[in-house]
Amino acid sequence: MEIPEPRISVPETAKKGDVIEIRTLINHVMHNGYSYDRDGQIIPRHIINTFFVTYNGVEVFRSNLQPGTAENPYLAFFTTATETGKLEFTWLDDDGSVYKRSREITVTA
Amino acid sequence: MQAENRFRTPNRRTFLIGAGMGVVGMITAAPQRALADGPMAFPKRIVEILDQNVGPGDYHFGDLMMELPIIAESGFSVPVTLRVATKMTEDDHVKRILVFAPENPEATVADYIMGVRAGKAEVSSRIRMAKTQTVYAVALMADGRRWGTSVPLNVTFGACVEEVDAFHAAEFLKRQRVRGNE
Repeated sequence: MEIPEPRISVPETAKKGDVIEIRTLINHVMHNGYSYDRDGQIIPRHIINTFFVTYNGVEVFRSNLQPGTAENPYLAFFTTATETGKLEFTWLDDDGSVYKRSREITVTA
Repeated sequence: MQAENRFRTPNRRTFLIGAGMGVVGMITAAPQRALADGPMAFPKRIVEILDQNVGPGDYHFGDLMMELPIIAESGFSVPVTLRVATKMTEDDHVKRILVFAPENPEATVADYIMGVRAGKAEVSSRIRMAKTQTVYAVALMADGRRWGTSVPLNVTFGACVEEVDAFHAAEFLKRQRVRGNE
């Protein structure tokens, strides 16, 4: 399987107190464990099971991803710009892999 | 007389236009019923999951809204947006939103955890649908209130099928797209 390359959209700057939209997408097969391949064999479950975001160390969003999530899981959500710092995005794979990315944000008064 | 009939019986042309608009249009489960109407009814399978994960309790139509297409051409990826009418303050915010598809092999399809820091109670994602069914969602508020909603969804090609079918579905969608470009 190709190595997932997450795509993240976060505004580079924001005013303090602004509600900002964050969009994330990670390429992943998300085999749900219920489909068959061409030989009639069940494709074993292999999904990203957890996703969470921390803003300067504080968790602001989390999702327990299910087999019912579509391929290449996409998530768009909101957070309040509180201070200049780092947003860290973590995806946990069924196979034990951890994919981490971060984005800097500058918050003006 | 004839003109009148044309309005009554949709011919092939008007039907296709209508179907096309259905795909583009979105359905929003607005607060349909007031709190006084009593708790929501869920399929047995979902009640069991909720009792186990969240604990027993009543869910009411109200502040939770779920946006889904009227028709999903492919059950492999159905866009969904969930929104709760709340200011996300310390005493009034969403803690968790769950989405259920009772006809899927695994009924829980989405589970989002958020808090005051979210600023706005809105999440968008893409989910899988095995077949045409009613999709349910619940939102758990910090003060213990529980909102629920349900939206019927038509699925042309379901997910969780054999790869051969998936291949046909992909081919079908490709043809659709080509036709749309003409």
